[in-house]
Amino acid sequence: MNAYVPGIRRNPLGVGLLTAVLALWVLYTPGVEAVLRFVFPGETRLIYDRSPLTRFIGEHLALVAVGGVIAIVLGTIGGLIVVSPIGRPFRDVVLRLANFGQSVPSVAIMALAVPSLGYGSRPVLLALVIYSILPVMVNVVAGVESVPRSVVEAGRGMGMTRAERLIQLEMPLAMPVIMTGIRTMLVILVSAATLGAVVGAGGLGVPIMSGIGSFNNAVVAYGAVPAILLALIIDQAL
Amino acid sequence: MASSTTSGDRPATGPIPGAAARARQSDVVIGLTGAGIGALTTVMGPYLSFRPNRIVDGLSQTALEAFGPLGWLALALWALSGLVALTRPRAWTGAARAALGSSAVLTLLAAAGADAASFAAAQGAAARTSFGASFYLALLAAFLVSYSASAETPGRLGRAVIALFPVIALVALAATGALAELGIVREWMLTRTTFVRELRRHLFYALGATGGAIALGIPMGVLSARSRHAETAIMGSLNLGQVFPALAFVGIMMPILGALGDRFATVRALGISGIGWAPVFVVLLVYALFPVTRNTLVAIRQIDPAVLDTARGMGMSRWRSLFEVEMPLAFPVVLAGVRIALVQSTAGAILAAFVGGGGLGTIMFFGLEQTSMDLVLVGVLPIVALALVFDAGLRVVERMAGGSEESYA
Amino acid sequence: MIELRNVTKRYDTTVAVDDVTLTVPDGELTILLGPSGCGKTTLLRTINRMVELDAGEVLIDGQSIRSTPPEVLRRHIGYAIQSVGLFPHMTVRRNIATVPRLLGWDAVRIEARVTELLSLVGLDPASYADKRPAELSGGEAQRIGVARALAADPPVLLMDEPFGALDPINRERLQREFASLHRRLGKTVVFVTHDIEEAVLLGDRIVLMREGQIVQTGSPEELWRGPEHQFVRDFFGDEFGLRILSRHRIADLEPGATPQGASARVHLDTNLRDALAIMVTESVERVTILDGERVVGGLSFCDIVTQVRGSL
Ligand SMILES: Nc1ncnc2c1ncn2[C@@H]1O[C@H](COP(=O)(O)OP(=O)(O)OP(=O)(O)O)[C@@H](O)[C@H]1O
Ligand SMILES: [Mg+2]
Repeated sequence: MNAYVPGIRRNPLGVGLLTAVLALWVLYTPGVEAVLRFVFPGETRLIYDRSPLTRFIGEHLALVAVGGVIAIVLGTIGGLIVVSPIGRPFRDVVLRLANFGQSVPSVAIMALAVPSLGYGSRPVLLALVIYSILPVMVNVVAGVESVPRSVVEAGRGMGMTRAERLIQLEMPLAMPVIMTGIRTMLVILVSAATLGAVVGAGGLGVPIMSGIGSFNNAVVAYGAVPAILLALIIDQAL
Repeated sequence: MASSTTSGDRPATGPIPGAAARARQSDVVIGLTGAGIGALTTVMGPYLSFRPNRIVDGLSQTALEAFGPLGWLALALWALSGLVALTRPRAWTGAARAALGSSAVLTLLAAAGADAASFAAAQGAAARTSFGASFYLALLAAFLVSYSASAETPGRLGRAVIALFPVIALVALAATGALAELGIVREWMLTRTTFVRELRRHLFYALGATGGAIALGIPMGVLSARSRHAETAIMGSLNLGQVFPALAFVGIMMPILGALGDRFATVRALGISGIGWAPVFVVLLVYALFPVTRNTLVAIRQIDPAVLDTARGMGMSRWRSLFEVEMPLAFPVVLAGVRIALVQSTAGAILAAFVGGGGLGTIMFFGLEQTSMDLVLVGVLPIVALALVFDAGLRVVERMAGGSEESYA
Repeated sequence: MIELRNVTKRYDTTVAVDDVTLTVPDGELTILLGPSGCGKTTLLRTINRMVELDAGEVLIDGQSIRSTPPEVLRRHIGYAIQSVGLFPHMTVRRNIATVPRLLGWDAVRIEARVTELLSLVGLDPASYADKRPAELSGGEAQRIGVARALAADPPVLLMDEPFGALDPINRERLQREFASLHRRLGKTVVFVTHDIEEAVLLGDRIVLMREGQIVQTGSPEELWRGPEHQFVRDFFGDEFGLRILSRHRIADLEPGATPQGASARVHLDTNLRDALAIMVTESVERVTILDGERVVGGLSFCDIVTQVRGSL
């Protein structure tokens, strides 16, 4: 869809470096305190001390992983249905709805899901899944449709069945586009999951929001830095 | 941008064989799906819930249970719209079934308003009548019916009627006061002054960030198109910004802008500080810059090199060529970037509520605190509506400017 | 008159134009001819400073082109290229009016000029002026491209394979039209092509290039009769003679006696190549020449060949 393909991706050195920094930040609290004390000399409270950061990042990763996997599975199935002869009629309307989905803030879905699902991780998971299924579908559709017709026709001419063409030709050739979609989706999920703290799902949003609530920039940074690192790692690694 | 001037033969204008039949099939299938979902939502699932006050759990009913004969009428309307979808399309069939679907929803809406009024009369001002999942699915059903109906309607006028009929009917219905006792309307009435203030602030974020993105992003895109070095630097950093999680990004901007405000009097004079609107505004701006800059870059890059070559060859200066040739040719694609930025900023401005920056998100938070979904909706629905209106409006402008429907969505 | 003196242009490792010295006389149509990549386009674009020189200089009417700012220079030199480059967002009228607008002509004058030019290139002004480039066929677009290049009546016209993208029938029609246009307007034209047929048909002079250098310069007849290099002979090939014949008409030759017996009939303005073709088709060795309905003499196959050798 995007004619602009950004430059260098998959930078193993960068990923390693970022991961190391993230690990240090999460595991070596005294070091983090020293850094924060240096940057925010005015603050007396430097970190969120009611729970260790490992717990928040664990919750965060769990949300992203579970939400992401569900979205990938459902989104891929949905996308393949939409490009199949049976689902073809729904192609345009699904793309239109995906576009509509952009205009609904993810935190709004969380808030609206609370009455039926209660506080905790379930409304957040629902929001994450709803929010990311459509982008995955869009990229599956775009990917499969980007495969040159001549290739598929050649496969047909050589006697491949529809399924064989899909598995041996269309999916592998669509993979780069699909992967771009998945990467974008995961980055979005990392961001959306920080908002989950609003409805009690935990995650790195907890220290960030606690810091914001108490006008304590050190605590904000304590949670924000690993969230940013996580997003960068996912973006660079995939 | 087709460089069709270079090829001797003209593009074929006739439809691809089979495409018409496939489009027709698609209209029927989607129209029937919509009618089917609509019918199901009438007989199944929670349509309305009645609660004596905001806190306690209430009674949920299906449309048939709640409205009796009017429920049956809605069911009949849905069924009719499905039947019309199956008939051979004529000039009026699209408008007819769209009207049927919309009428089904509007009928139930009116009925819900009446029920809410009698419930409120019995229970007092604290009573809340709210919509359940079935109602929202019915909205989806009405959308599907209208979507497919619009696709089978040839005239522009007919399509305008299909799009505007439900809006006008809804406004008319609301004007009669028939909906006044519905929970969402009551909450809106109660928060009206706050609502107007937060709506204004929300628009400030959305329009401000987009305006800033236009002012900065277009020159940055032009610069990127001119030089690979600029492209690497600009698109590289914008890409990076895109990846930053929103809340964390705002969190990081707070101390940075705070320090800037402390250090420089001019920055402070602009009202920029570590709290309030500035951190959110800056983050929204960074996000909004990406689509505008990228689309400007791509749009200029894809201009036929021969066009730029002759512009130069006939003696246009760089600026002249930029304003007279490159920008007009890039315009539809740049506009698509602006549209994406605006929709994104409108949804994204909900973030401001997290840091006390105001906006419609504030109302959503009120609702969350008071466990009032109606109040949450008072905050959320206008955001979605604004985003959709911006999206549709700019798409119309794009089409008039000659852009293709799907340019860089 | 355009003079190029020791012109050199390098790109990284390639020398696109290598120490070229060339004079383009006023009013003539000079062809830059040569295999792909030999530097024709680069050489052409040095003249309107689309390419800046590494060494040497270019003079127009004795004045160095470096003494004029490039934009101003270009407004007085027509420019037409193979891919036309019409501005897709502007009407035909506005496209043609580009340089006049840059030069600040008033609206009335521009409108008159647009109408005049459209007629000149054989398109009906009333129906074409308001079209967009996307609504034009390839041939029409190319005609507009030529009209646009002529808009401000520049004394010099640079053309880079202007008819290269057209189908053979359209190409030949435009070539003939352009040849007569050139005879009428008397512009100094520098015309790039790699099509030998086109070069021989249109060129008053041909500049044959190879690897950035000039191999030989002269009229097509001069190159045909006196190739200074094996490359010239190889490049033009065995059909060179036939192509030369197509440049000349029966009227250019001394007619002989009217043939007795079997002969074909040709007109004074039949070109020699066609005349030979008619002889072959009708299996005769002589033609009877008609001026209108009147017989004015005759020529044999041998007459034609000998006369062409000797006199043209
Ligand atoms: N902008 C440029 N950058 C680098 N090399 C160039 C550039 N323009 C031309 N060249 C090189 O200079 C040489 C001459 O190119 P030029 O375009 O003048 O050839 P040409 O004779 O017009 O060929 P053709 O008939 O294919 O159009 C070629 O080797 C080409 O690769
Ligand atoms: Mg060339």
